[in-house]
Amino acid sequence: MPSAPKSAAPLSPALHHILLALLGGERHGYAIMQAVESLSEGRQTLGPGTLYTALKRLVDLGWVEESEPRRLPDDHDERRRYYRLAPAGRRALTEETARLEHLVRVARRGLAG
Amino acid sequence: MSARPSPVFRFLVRLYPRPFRDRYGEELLATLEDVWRDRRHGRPALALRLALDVLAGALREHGVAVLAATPRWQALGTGVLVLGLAALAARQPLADATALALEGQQRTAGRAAAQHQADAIAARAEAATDAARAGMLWVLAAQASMTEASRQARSDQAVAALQRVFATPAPTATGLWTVAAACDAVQRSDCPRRAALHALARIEPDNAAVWHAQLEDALPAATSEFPFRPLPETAVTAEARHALARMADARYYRTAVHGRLGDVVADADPNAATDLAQWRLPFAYGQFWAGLDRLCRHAAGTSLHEDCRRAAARLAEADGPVAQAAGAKLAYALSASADERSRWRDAYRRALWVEHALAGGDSARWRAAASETDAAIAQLRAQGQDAEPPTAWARNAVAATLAP
Repeated sequence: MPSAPKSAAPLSPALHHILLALLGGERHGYAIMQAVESLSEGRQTLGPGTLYTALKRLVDLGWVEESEPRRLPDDHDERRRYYRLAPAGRRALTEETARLEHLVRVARRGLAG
Repeated sequence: MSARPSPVFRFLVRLYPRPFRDRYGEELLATLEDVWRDRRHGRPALALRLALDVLAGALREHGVAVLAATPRWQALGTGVLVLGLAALAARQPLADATALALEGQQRTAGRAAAQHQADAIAARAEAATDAARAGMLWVLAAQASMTEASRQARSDQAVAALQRVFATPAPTATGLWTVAAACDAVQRSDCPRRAALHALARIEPDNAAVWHAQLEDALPAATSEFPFRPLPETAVTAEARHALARMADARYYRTAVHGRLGDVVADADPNAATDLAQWRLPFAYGQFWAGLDRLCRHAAGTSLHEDCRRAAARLAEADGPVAQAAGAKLAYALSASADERSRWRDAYRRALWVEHALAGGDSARWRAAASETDAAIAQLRAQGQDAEPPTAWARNAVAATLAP
């Protein structure tokens, strides 16, 4: 019988969606919020407070890193910082996706049976 | 709250612990102002929601600070209480808030197991005789590696193996798709992705997915802004124009992500700990389609319009529901008549339904991203669900999503 996947703890929905949003490239905070809402088609929304608490956690874990300021032409707000997915974050996302895949397979097998 | 809420927001930000405020305070304030500026309707409710959210964040940070600064078990009760209040204030599950604070410790415990898994995949890569399979396994091993040095070494092995695919007299389509998908994941300029796509164009000239991939490669990369900025017609090179025309002329759209690579990737982990997920993500999250959409969404009145319209229709007939939804959405934007718009709106809604119903909604939906539609529909029917969406399902949400 196959053993269960050896993966780390589940990601919270907030962390998971932020990592997914950063797969599309570096973004500032507000752009992350918009991307999360768009990617989940409105099913997951993050408020600014939740976003920065989660970003702090991700930066502390080394999964997300601040990128060099790369101002876009219409971005005049100097307070904005940009974030990107770190290699460790990509690995964490891969692990989490594999973990969820396993759960989905188990669920499908159960439902099919 | 007034029409200019900055003083109120500034007050709310000051509720955070000092270290957090020093690091993120100004940025948080800027984001609060962005949200306030962009949402002009329902501001009283928005003000309440933002205030609760920031309050929850502040409470959560104080809770984390308590957990970090005092003996573990003594702090646990206080910390969970504060986190619980934060979760209630933000209407998030308690488990979510607690997980946010504690998961760093738990994840550390998983590192050894993850390293063991990465080493096991590398051993399979070492033993693989087929070059494309070996390349894919090395990519998986690199991604699972827990140190930068081993990640780099395995990434080198991956590129070397993928290059060897072209040393064989007649690479197969499956081998070439494996190379393209593996190169997407490894993201190195020396990975032979372009060579694989050019070879595929000779083997599968009627597959729109091949030309779509070439089109994406020929367009400037998307910036970090979201929604993506439209591409001006002047950004379109002859190569991109050719790929778009071939995509429009193609007869079917078949990605290799699911069906063809399944056995290759499953080989990485017989215990099913690793699967196709990492190959699905670029397809699911818009990177893969961003170029076509940026190029075509505003193509009305340009020389690209007709090819864009037909290319979108090819994508809408793809083998996976996510690709279908993206194609139908673009085709809707390019429609010339009310009848056409109605048809694409229905197609878009149907693709979303398959995706949604198969995986159960919310974040689980993404795992069905590259599932093949036929298989997905068969599975839905086996579960007693209809392949067609219920009459009232998501009509308003779909209309809102498709609105210009």
